[in-house]
Amino acid sequence: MRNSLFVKIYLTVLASLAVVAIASGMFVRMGMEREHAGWSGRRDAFIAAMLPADSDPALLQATVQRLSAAFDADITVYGPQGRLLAAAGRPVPQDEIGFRRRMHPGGHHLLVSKLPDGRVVAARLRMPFGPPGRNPLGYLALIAGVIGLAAFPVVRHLTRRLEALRQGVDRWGEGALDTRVAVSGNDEVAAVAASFNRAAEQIERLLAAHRSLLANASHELRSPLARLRMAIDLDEEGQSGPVRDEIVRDLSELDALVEEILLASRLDHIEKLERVEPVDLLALTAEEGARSGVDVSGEPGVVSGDPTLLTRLVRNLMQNAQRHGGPPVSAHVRTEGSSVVLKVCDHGPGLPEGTGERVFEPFFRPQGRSETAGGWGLGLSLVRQIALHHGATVHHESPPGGGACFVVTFPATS
Amino acid sequence: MADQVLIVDDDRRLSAMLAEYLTGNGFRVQAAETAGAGIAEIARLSPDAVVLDVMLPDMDGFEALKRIRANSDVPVLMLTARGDETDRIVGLEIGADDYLPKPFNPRELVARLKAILRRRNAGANASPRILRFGRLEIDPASRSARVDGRDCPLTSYQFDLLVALAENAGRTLSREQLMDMVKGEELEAFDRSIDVHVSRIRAAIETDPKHPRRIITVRGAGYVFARFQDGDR
Repeated sequence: MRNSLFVKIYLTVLASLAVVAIASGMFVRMGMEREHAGWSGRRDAFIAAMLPADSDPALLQATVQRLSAAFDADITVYGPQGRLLAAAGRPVPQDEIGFRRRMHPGGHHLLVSKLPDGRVVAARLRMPFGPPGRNPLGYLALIAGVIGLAAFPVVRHLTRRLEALRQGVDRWGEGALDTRVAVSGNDEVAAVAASFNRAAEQIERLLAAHRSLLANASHELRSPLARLRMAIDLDEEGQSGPVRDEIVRDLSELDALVEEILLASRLDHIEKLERVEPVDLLALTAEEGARSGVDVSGEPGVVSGDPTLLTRLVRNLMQNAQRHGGPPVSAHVRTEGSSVVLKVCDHGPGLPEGTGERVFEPFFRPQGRSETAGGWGLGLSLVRQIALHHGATVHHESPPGGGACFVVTFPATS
Repeated sequence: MADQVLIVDDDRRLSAMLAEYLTGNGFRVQAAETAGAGIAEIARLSPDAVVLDVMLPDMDGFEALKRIRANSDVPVLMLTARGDETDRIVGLEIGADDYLPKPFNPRELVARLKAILRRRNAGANASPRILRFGRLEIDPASRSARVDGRDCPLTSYQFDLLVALAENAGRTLSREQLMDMVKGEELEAFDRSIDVHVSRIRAAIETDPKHPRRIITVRGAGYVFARFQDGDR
C-alpha cells in the first residue's frame, strides 16, 4: 500500500524485461532452427557425396575411417535394412538412432543423417559440431538481471520523492499549515512540489487574513457594545421594565457571541495551553452549577488544564442544556479508571435522530428549531475545542428516559 | 475632599460617559487617552485611584501597569476584555488591585472603586494576607470577615471553618476533611454538625443564603468554596 506506486513501476520494469527476454529468446531459437535445418541438409548432401552408394565396402570403410579421424568422431553406416556397412571408432548401436540429433550422457553429440539411397550414417562427436552453439538465452537473462537491479534504485528514488511529497501534503491537511515540501531537481515531481508550496502559501495567507478579520471585527464590535451598555445603565430616566430588560439581554447576548468568536479564534491559534494547573473538576462544576442553578453531584476528580477554559466548557454545556434541553438539568463528575468523566444531562426533547457530530459545529441548528431560543452559536463547538486542547473527548448520548446528555472524558492527573 | 480618579482609556466617548457618571457619584475625574499621557498624569496629579484599560494604542495595559508601579502604588482597577486571561491580572505578579471585564455596569465599577479606596485607606493596619473573593474579605489576622466592609457575625469555630474553606477555594472538601482542618475548638465542633455551621456561615456571608454562591454543597461529596464570586471571572 505505502509503496504501491514503487511496486507498480518496478514490476512494470521487470515485466517488460521478461517480455523482451522471452521474445528475443523465441526469435533467436527460430533463427537457430532455420539455420540448423539448412546446415543439416548440406551435411546430408556432403555425406552422400563423400560416401557414394555404389562404392565398394573397402573404399566405404576407408572413407569412413578418414572422416572419423578428421572430425574426431565415431561414425557408423547402416544399410537401408539396418545392416552394418562400415564403422570407425566405437560403433553407434542402432537403437540409439531414434532421433536425428540429441545430446547423450557424457556430453557427446549424435548426428544422424539419412542418405537418399536409404542408408543411415550416425556420427558420435566428442566436440560439439555444427554452428557455434553457445546459447544466447543466458546472455539475455544476465542482461535482464542487470537492468532489473539497476532499475531498482532509480524507481526507488522516484517514488521516495513522491512519498515525501505525499507526507508533506498529509501534514498540511492535518492542519500544520506552515508545512512546505522540499523542491529538488527540475522534473515533474519537483514541479508538483513547487505548485503545492505555492498553493499552501496562498491558502495559509487567506486563512490568516480571514481569522484576523474575524478577530479584529469582533474586537471592534466591543467598543460600541460597551458604550451602549453604559448608556443604557446611565439612562436612569429612560425606559424601565420589560423593554429595557430586553435591550440589556440582547446586548449581553451580542457580547457573549463576540466573546465566543474571539475565544474560538484564540483557541484556533494556540498550539498548547498557556496555563496548566491541577483543577478539581467537581468543585469547578459545582461552582458553575450554583451560578446557573444546575444540580451537581459526584466524586472529586482532578484534571490538569486551564481553569478559565474549563469553567467556560462547563458553563457552555449547562447553558446549552438549559436553552435547548429541558429542566431539570444535572451534572455529574466521576472517576473511571484513569479518566475523569463529566456528564451534563437535561430532560428536554433530546437531539433529533442522526444529528451526530454536527451538533458540535459552529452555528449548528437542529431542523425545526426556532431562533427565539437564542444562542445557536459557538457554545458546543467551543466545548469541543476546549476539550481537544485538554486531551479530552466529547460526545453526546440519548438516555432511554429522554433528554440529552453530553459526556466529556478527561485524562486524570495522578 | 472627593477622591480623584484617573481614567486611562482610548475610547473617548466611553470615558466621557464614565467621567460624567463618576462625577455624579462624588468623584473628581481626569481622563487620559494613552498610557504615556496616563503615566504623566499620575505623576502630576497623584490620583487616589486609576481606571486603566487593557488595550491602549501605545502599549498594552500590563506594560503600562508595570511602568505605573515603578513609581507609584496608586490603586489600579483594570478594564479587561471579557474572555481574556483575566485571572492573571489580579495578584502580586502584575499588581492590579482589581479588574472588571468590559462591557461593565457602571454601578459595579463604582462599587469596586469604593472597595479599593477603602482597602487603601485601611491599608496601614490591614494584614497583608487578606483573602478576597468579590465583595467578601476574610482577614485571618483580625479574625474577621467582611462583605462590602460590613463585619459578618461568626463564631470562632465558624471563622476557622470559613478560612479552611477559603484557603482551599476551588477544591471539593468532604465533611471529614473539614473536621480535620478545624480541630481547635472541639467543644463547638461536636456541638453541632459541619452542615449546621456551614448554614450559619452562609447566613452571615451569602447574599441569598437559600441559593448560596460562595459555599456550595456538592451532593455526595461535601463543600466547595467558589473561586470566583460576585461576578469575578
